[in-house]
Amino acid sequence: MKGLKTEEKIKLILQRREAMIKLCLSACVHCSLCAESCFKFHNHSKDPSYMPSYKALHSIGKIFRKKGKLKDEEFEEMKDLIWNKCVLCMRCYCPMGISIPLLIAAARAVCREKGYYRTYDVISKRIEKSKKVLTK
Amino acid sequence: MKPWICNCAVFIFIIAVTSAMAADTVIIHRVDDFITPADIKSGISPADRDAPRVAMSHKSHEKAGLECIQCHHKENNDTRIYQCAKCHKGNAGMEIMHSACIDCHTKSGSGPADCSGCHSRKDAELKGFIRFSLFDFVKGPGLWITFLVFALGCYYRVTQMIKFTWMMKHPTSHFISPDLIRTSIFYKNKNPLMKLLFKIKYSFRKSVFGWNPVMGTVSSIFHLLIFTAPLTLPAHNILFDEAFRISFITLPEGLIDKFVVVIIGIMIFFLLRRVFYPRVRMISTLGDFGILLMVAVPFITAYFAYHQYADYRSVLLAHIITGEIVIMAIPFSRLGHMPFFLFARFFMSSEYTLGVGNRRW
Amino acid sequence: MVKAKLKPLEEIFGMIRSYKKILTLSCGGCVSVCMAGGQREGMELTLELVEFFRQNRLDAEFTHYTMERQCNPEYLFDAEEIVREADCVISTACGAGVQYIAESHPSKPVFPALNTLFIGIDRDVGLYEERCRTCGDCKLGYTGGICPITRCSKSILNGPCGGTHFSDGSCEIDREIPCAWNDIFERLKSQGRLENILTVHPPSIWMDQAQRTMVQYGFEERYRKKE
Ligand code: SF4
Ligand code: SF4
Ligand code: SF4
Ligand code: SF4
Repeated sequence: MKGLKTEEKIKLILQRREAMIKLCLSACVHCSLCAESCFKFHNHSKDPSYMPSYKALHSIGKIFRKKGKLKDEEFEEMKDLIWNKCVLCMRCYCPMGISIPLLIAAARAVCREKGYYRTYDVISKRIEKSKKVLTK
Repeated sequence: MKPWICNCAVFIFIIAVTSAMAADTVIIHRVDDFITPADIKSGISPADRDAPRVAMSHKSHEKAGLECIQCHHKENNDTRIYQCAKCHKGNAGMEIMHSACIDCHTKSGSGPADCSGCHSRKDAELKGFIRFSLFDFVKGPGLWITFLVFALGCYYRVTQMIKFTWMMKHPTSHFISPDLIRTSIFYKNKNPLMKLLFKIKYSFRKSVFGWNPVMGTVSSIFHLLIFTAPLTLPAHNILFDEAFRISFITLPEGLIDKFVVVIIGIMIFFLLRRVFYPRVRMISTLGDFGILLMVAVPFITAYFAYHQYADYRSVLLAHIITGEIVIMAIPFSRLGHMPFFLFARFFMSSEYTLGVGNRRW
Repeated sequence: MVKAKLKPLEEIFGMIRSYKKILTLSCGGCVSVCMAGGQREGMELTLELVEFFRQNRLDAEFTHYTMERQCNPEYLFDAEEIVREADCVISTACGAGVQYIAESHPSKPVFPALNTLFIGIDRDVGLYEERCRTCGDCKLGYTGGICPITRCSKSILNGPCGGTHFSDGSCEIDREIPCAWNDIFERLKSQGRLENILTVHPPSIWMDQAQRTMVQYGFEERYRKKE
């Protein structure tokens, strides 16, 4: 990995997982049965963009189709999708045996190479709000 | 070109070709069909077996005004076996066939009445040889190819899946302190029946039936029927018997017709769900609709064939060919969730595993 | 979640100075949240080490990689190849993660870059407070949601000890430390369930003193050892 350009590293990451990703993407029947097993989906009033397969298909699916050549805004969008909308808790269940967290992790690996990843030092409005509630 | 477009194109092309062919089907009885090993033992000479096959054109008989039932009797034949030789075996069979054909021919004064009129190799070859062979091909070697492709494909997919997964190793210091085990109140129940009931209830609640009862039920019914209907249809079992010498329990055709209606209904439900349900629409692709259509065609043609809408023979041919294509496509398309599902439910380590479940991606 | 803090650079340097191909392996889990060993921290550590090596006139090749989790077999696969290429690994995961990487690559020296400290809460960005010592027999039920083991200086279960400064409710150890049992008393009183601490509670089993293996509720059948 040392001395490679980002693009090449991404290519390598994708190559390493290629067969697995292909297998999973081709086995997903887009049935949405995995939706209810994700707690994030429930917590966000069943917003379909929190559905495990949606998260996987719109992150690694997209990356894989375009061979990692995505625009910056797309990565930015994806960052929200795969970090804020999924915590990789591995509790989602696909009856076909697809490991969705693994797919999302692969997408995260690519994003990480690109320099898009979640940091935890931003005090979001939510934390401010909950702090107010606590100190009351 | 995208693979699914290719698939769809090939599929549509084949449907078009087969329906375009007005198939005048010719049934040929091999002399073999009438001769059992017992007959051979009792002295039927091998020379007899070399007699040329009989080419029987259904169309010319229909044109002459014959009713199906005149030959294909329903008495003692509830499952509508359409191959005479299946029951009328041996010398007795040969005699029955001879008398049935020759009597009618002489009575009506039309149709060949001498041996070579029917037992004519030339006739068999001339009369719609291509069409005959297509029909016979899909019923015989076609079926073999189909199931071979299906079995090898499934084997390939599952081995592929096994390759990407690996066996979990439990730590060597694996011990369970009794203090750390909290046995669920359900399992503690003394009454074994109650225990079982609770167990079932518990696993039900955390399964897809618990969180999505409608889809769970509909999809279970669908998948159950999609296997039962074709496997228990009498006509299919005859095919299996002819091709592989195996057959399953059969259900009455009328019931299976109702199954087919349910299957088509559920497919329409799936289609509507895909179009109107946001969470499914958001992840749907054109390929998903293609697959739905692909699976629907054999069932629709089956419905048409059973009710004899449109041209029976073409519909039947389309049914067989599309059915075989779908079976062959199972391991290589999204329908591959069939072997995947079994593998996942039994061998993957997850909270919902049914079997040993000690593999991980 | 698990809270940890980076070790002093010198200590890390001491462990890895003799290696030529060094991999810094970050963890995207808990230590990312407490900003001790996430991707950015791992990258920063790598840069610092490069500089440190340069200053000490040593030559080594550094690689950095972030795994989603180091404590889960499913994500191990991610870094398998990279770990194999390296001479040694510095893992910025918690102790569990380091051990799992070491266990799955027995021929590789794996070094910890963090001191794993405790299970705690995020008071603020970069400010964390210990809240649980995983005693294995949670007492919070009768202590009004205040952990006597973590918060009490003596970890006593039938407090207070008698050294409490009643004027300001602080511990006898230090005026700065609030007495846990004073807080417990106040909270239970305000909730009207003082009887909870009026009974004597038996000694704790202290299950955290031996290695534990846990089988989750509902999985007993699956993992029970065959007799
Ligand atoms: S991931 Fe599995 S459950 Fe989810 S849509 Fe795909 S096949 Fe269905
Ligand atoms: S791993 Fe992600 S998608 Fe799966 S259940 Fe957890 S949060 Fe949902
Ligand atoms: S390895 Fe440690 S720090 Fe990383 S996710 Fe697991 S428990 Fe958290
Ligand atoms: S009583 Fe034990 S388990 Fe409960 S918070 Fe304290 S240390 Fe943790």
